[in-house]
Amino acid sequence: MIVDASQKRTAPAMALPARLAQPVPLGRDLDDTPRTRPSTWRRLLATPTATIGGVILLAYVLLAAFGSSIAPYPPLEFHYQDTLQAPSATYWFGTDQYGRDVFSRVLAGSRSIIVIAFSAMALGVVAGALIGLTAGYYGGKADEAIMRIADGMMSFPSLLLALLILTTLGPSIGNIVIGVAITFVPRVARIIRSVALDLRTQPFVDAARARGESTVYIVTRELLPNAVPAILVESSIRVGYAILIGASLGFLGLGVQPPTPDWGLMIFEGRSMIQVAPWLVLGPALAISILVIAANLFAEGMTRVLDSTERIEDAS
Amino acid sequence: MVRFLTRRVAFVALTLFIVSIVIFGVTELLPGDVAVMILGSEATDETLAALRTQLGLDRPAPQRYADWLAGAIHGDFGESLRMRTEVGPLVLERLRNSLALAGIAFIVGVPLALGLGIVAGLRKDRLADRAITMTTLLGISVPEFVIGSVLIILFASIWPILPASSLIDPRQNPLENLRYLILPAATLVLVTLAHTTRMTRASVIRVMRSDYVRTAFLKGMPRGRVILRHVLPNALLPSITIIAINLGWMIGGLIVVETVFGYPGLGQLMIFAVTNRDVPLLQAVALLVATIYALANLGADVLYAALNPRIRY
Repeated sequence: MIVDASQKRTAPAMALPARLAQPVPLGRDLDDTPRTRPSTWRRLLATPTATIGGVILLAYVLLAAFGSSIAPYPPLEFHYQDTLQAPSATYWFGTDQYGRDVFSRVLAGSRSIIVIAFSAMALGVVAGALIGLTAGYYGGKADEAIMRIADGMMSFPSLLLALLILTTLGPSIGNIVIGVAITFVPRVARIIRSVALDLRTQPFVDAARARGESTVYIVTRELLPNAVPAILVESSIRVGYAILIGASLGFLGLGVQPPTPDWGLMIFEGRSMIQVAPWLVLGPALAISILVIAANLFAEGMTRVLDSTERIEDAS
Repeated sequence: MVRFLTRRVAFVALTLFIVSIVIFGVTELLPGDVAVMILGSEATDETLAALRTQLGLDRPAPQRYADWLAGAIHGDFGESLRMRTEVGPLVLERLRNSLALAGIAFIVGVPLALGLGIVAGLRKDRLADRAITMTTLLGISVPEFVIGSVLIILFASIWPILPASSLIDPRQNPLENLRYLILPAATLVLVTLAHTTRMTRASVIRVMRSDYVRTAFLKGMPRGRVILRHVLPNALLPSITIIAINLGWMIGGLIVVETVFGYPGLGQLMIFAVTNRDVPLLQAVALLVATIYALANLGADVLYAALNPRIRY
């Protein structure tokens, strides 16, 4: 490829793809006068849903770190005099058939789901983004082959693929992380690939190629920084899915093993006594519902701020 | 059209081929010895070797894969390791039960979702839209097993009008006992409703912003006519694809919902296969589910092409 010197000099190393570089109007502000684009942080804070979702998410992360130390009772402690107590001032969410405090167990149970959600998201997004960028940059046969394999993987509903992987690896938190991350890889790769397809035609990529840079350099130093907004949006969307799939796997008995507290598992165990002691299910159900709603609110805000393209939600 | 069909069918065949490799690879090649799983860790080396020969595990993996695939194409999935019966008939019986459940959820859920999506899209940012958008946000956020449990508490404990679990005889025709299907079907509807509604809403809003709708309004066409003649046909076309995607959620949802209610369908059978490491059973269920999903997507693509006058082959 021949690139003339003037193009090489003027090509900005950090140019954004056109659709991501366009300023996003703030709320209903339709003022057309040019102004400096507020920072991403400012715009995120100006989106109420993103702020609310982000604050709640942060609270859950803190809970995961310190939940078991602020719990009123040790989550595994039996109180034989107080089995199956309804919620009261002593036991806020009631007690289970061994007299364990449900509120303390819900607090302590935040750890497994937060660890699973963020690790699976990080692993899946990093692997998916690298594969997507590489496939999009190379194009041709390699791209075709990678995308066909991704299509094959995506013809399983996520939960089914995660179940298949966990069957072979055995139930544990680490394996849930791997299983969920694998279901994310083809979905992330497909979206980031489309970003890379846009980027590879930009002059600064031609310039880098003309300078004789290696493929690794171009993918990590030229493409990756420009794909960051898309990757951030994808990460925020994946957190919500990771919580849902991770909790469902826990519910199906493939995650944390008893007696360790885990919301999905607690709901499964409470299911058999739901007509006698509905609080066994309601405590963890409330905790997980608020968490996923917060994650989805945050993801919606991120999408609105960073990504002006409308994306079609994929099967998950 | 014929060329398009041939290409799409060939593509589905290729996808299913890759899918079968993934299923076989994931369940057979990763660590974990089937013979040890069946006999337990105390088994002697000789009995383990004998069982491996009997199950054909001593042969190379590609050969085993070819045999498995050849059997699967003829409907022979081998014998369940735990239930000691033929996998094929067992899977078909459970498939019928799951289809009954999914079918009801589909017939109720799809028109409801399209209707709500259209209302929300046409009345964007008004009260009805905000109510629908907030409710569907709950629907996509709350996991299936939570929705199912809350429905049980509401309609089997607080106001006891429906059974709390759906433990029916697997061989019985599930449609003869509709009472047991209501709560699980309602859970499935609530889960899938949210996605379809949100996407239909987005689609309606996109069409309402288009130049041809603006033109229709500007030339003085009554609002009702614009909506019926211009907005709905264009906005609902993508919904066909959305509904096919919905099947994917429904399959995932079925696995969880059947476990919540103890309903004897394909999803519950799959969890049985998973917890008992019943590899032939698991492979059969997974391949069947993936095939249904791929065929549904194919059907949606063909229908989309047939109904869309802009696509001509």
